Amino acid sequence: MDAARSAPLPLIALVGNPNCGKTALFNILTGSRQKVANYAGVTVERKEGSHLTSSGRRIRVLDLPGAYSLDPLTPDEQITTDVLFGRRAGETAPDFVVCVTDATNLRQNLRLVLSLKRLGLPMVVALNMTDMARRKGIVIDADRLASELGVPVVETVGVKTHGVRELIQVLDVTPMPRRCGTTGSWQPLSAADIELDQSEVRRILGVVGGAGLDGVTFSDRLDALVLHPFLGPAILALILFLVFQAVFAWAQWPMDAIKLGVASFGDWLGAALPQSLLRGLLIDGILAGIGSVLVFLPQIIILFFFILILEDSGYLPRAAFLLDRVMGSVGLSGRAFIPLLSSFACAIPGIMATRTIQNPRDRLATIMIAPLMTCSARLPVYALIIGAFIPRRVVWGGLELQGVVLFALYIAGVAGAMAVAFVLKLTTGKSGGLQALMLELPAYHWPNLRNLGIGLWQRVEIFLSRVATIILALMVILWALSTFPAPPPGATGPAIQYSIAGHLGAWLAVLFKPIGFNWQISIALVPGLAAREVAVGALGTVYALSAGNDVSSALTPLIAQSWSLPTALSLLAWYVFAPQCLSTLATVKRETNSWRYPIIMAAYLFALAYLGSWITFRVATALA
Amino acid sequence: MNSLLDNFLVGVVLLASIGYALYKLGPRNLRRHILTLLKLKSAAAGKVQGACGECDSCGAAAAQPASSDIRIPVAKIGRRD
Repeated sequence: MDAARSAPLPLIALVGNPNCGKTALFNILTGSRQKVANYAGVTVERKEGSHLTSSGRRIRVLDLPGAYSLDPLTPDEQITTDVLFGRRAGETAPDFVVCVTDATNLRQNLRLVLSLKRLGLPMVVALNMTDMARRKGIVIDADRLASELGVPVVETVGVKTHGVRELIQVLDVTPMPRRCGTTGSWQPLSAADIELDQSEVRRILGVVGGAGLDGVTFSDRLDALVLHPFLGPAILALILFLVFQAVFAWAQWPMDAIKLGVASFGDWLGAALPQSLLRGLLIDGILAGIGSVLVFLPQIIILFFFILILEDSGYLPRAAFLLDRVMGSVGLSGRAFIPLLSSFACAIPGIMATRTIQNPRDRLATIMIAPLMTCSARLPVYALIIGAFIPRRVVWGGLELQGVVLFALYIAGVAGAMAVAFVLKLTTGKSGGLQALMLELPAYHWPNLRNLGIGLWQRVEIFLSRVATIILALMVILWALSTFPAPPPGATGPAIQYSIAGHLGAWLAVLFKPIGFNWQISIALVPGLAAREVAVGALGTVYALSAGNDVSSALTPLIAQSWSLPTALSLLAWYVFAPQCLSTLATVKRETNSWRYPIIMAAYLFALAYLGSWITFRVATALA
Repeated sequence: MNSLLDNFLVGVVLLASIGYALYKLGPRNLRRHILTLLKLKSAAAGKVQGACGECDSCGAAAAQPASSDIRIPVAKIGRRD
């Protein structure tokens, strides 16, 4: 009994072409909430969970990056083959493979099935997206397919819980004896082998159906518009423009509600507590810092609402296709588009998504420019300064001026990234010549509301947990540094000027004076190195201690009074370029396996930030 | 007495904040040392972590221990052995 309990659990691997629904199946089997989207290359990492079958049998489930063949060309495919061949350190090959196939595109998917069969691992084929195939008029004889392949075939609908019932039953009854060590040997396929496989695929499709329809589909008709050489880029620009308009136009009342809530709580706390060190910590340290950041939650939710819709609809690969020519002109592959777009949420998954890029030079160039994409952590900083200095008025036939400025800042980040890529192209040379963009264009579909809800909830969780953990911790430390030592007897200035942070700010202000930053901004940049949005909380704490009143809900008018417009614009320029995120640098180190590239990245980004701010400050001052 | 309690509470919050900031932002080795010290290593191994530099910002959580990092030298990426 004990031996059975301590025996290692059977390990099953979900394998298949990119964007065939492996992660959706994984989420249902394991109860996990891994990211799913309608484009190839969402999963670039091995993920593990466990599943308890109805008979009480527990199995380990691996979700692997998509692969077109067992001869890897990209780092994410390498991960999949390493796991399948049992070459991962400390991990044996899987005991069983669930080969997930896209029923709407069997012609491409069956080649991998044939390769996996050759590998000799016990396997079941999950014929996924059968609902979509039926809607397209594709009818596949699953029983016949099973007899042709010589392995069980089950139909699944990976986005619906009841859609995987049959697969779960198969996993429940199939014996999975534990295997040891590596999988059988694998020889890379020759051109003749590939041709043979393709012939076999055609033969099987002829027997079982599933060859697809040759008629014009809804996606084809939409693509005629969306991928049009002139209309396509205009539609893309319009979509992005509307997103940034909505970020300001829709967020106002929930932001006002949060401000009111924080202010009311601050008033209540101030009245309830007597003057003491603890009161100072709670009101000037925690509430001023946290309240200043929390207020930007609605804008982050709105931004991700649109990003998730674009991801789930299948539009993103089309955008990559549209921008291939532009990206090629600065030495980037069109394949870099999706990693760069992921960087709008956060540079870290964007940098990891570069694993789908085959050419090493292209991959490195994409990694180096990914932090220039405007991540969501910059949004609170931008929104704070725009809210303080850009009037809330409508221009050019109904456009919000604040939204226009936000859009311009995003464009500035993209333009900076393109310029850096161009310099990299000139200085490092483009090895390997021009590489054509090979990209799957998935069928359009309506965003899945469940995925959208989960995705948005995850963003809320992530934001709130950051506020409640690292931002809170840094605010407490900054408050202490801004409070101690106490001012000497007879001191006339604000107490913070005599504190450790005050002295540090005065020293840093010398460095930042040429770009127009005062000592309060200089202090806020230091904890802001941990994560960009921390700078907003830090400004809240610093101004609370400088001004001597509660600023948790009133930081915007306070900085509008105390900064000049050139200073505000200079700080915006700083945040367009500065690498104010230690985690990004750590990820670059890990992905490149070297300290060289994060050091180069930090150096060039800080240099760009200082230069950009200096030019902005000087020009704005001259014009003012 | 109230003043003493206030100062004690502020001290505890400050120490906890410094410890947490060091744990989250410090080098991984330091993180492992802290975990070992707190004897939480086994619990942490099963925790879903950020997929990356663990800034918790990306939302792409990967349920795997840190020891299974991908280490592919840039020069070797995309090349067949």
